[in-house]
Amino acid sequence: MDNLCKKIQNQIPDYILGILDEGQTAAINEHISRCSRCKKYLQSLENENRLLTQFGQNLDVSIATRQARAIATLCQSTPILHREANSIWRTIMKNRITKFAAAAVIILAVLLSISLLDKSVTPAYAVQQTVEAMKKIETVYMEGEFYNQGEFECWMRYDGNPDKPTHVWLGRTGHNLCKICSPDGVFGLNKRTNRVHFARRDERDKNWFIKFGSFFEDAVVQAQRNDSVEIHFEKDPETDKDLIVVNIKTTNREQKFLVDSKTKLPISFSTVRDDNPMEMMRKTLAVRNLAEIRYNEQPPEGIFDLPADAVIVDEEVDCMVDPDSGLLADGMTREQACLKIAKQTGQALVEIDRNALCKLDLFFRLWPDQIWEQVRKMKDEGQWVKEVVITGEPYQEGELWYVPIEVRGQTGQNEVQNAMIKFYEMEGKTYCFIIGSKEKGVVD
Amino acid sequence: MNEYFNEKLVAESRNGNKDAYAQLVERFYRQIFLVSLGIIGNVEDAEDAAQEVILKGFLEISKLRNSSQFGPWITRITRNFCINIVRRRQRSREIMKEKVRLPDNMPEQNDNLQLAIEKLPMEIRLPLVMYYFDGQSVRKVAENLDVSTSAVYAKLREAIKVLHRMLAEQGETNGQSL
Repeated sequence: MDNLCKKIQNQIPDYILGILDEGQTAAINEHISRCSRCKKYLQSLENENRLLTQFGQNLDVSIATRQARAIATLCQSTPILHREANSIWRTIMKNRITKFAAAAVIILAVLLSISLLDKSVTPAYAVQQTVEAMKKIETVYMEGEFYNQGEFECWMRYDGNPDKPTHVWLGRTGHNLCKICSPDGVFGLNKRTNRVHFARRDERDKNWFIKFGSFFEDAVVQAQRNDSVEIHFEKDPETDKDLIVVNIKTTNREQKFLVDSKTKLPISFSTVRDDNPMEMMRKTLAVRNLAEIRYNEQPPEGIFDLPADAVIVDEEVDCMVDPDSGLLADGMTREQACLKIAKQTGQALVEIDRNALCKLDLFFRLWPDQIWEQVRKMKDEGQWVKEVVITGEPYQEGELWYVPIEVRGQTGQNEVQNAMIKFYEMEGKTYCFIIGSKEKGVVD
Repeated sequence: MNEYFNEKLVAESRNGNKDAYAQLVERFYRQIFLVSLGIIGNVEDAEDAAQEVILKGFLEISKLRNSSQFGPWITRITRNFCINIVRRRQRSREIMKEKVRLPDNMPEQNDNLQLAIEKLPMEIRLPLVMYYFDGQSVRKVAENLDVSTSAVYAKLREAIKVLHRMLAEQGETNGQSL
């Protein structure tokens, strides 16, 4: 096929869509009158266009029936149990990669806004200085606290491009799971077991990946219409370092930033007052505090690499398990273990036994404190789960086991589920975990 | 006038009036279903998803701040809901092992086409489905998806090419491709 044919065939979809001008259309018509290959290609696409149109028309005929079914179901529906908790849970349960990315974005947005404020302190300072300073950063380390997800640590490494960190490591303090992004791929690692879920895809072109320069420009725009900002100098009594203290007071909250006056880089961030924390909690991962921010330090050896003895697992959920939790299933049949874990989890749900729930059911591990407070309140108000009844025998599908249960609410609302259970061999013993439900899928 | 009625129906739905909400569903079902189909790719699953979205919308309509924005709001819910379904499906080994279901009432000759549509990447399937199944108006697709018409054209162009490659491999059409 020559270059002209390639060009013509490239334009044929546009020809089908009718978006070419007269000259282009005439050129295609002229070409296909003497090129059988391109003519055949055009005929195929025209044929497919007809099939698609016909398919659409067939579907159109059936849509009224589908709509009628939908409305009938709506009219028969009753409210769903625990819908408030579920809606918050769904927010939290978004893909972890996205969550970590969002965290990094929020963190950097904070950092940038601090740098901007420095402009007010020294008249000679220009916004561009911070852009340049940030460009020279090779690594960043942060310790802080999310509104929803508790304390965390984060390492990021750059390679001259402030729009594209080459590596990100993010872990929640006190949790075994951490997330690592590198040019080789993205993986979740359980530090306790070295179980790894690995995906060989470069996340750096995804929307969530930090576009450093763009965030800075965005922050400039925001700063220009910012609320009250108060700035003064302090000397850190411990390090004797000159600091710029920046207080931003908005209607709902007051935030304090400490900026190193020499490097122009922020070294900490805190929320001093917050009259509307729910606003921040609605965001997936909003930062409440950054207790420490350090630059250009060498990250711990191998932190961005797959551990040499990593156990690669198929599913992300397989990373979450460890032998310190779950139900020890040795000496039991699979059926007995399934019934036992379903029973224990059901009891813990009724009693809101956080430790037991987090140990047995992966679903509850990512619930932040606020959700636990909310469900306890629901219990106090008589709106929580009254009992969890096992309604059928455990059954196996592939490597997963299910136990049919009914969650009965104190207000008379019931929800039927099939608890999804998986068995794991770890350190020579067998453990089982509830990893989701047939209705809602695997915990992710 | 339509918008005025929509706003009234939203206001009544917020007060728990299921009949009012059912009227809203009548007005927007097509949009909900097509977005579901565009993302999920399978007609039967798309109907189930649309059903869930409609129930979810009724439970959450009190959160809709601007009552004139019901269309974009329910479309957003649909997209998020269906994307989650696709993600869950990708992660569930059991479902991965399931045979791809064919639609019930479609003519035999459309089976290959339906299978090819299901296999298209989601990003290009959604505009394709909305374009061919809803009046072939690029402007309408762009408005509904809140993207530019040029972006819709680009995705349609890509979808047409990919679909052709798939169908050619299945022997549906005999055209030469690039």
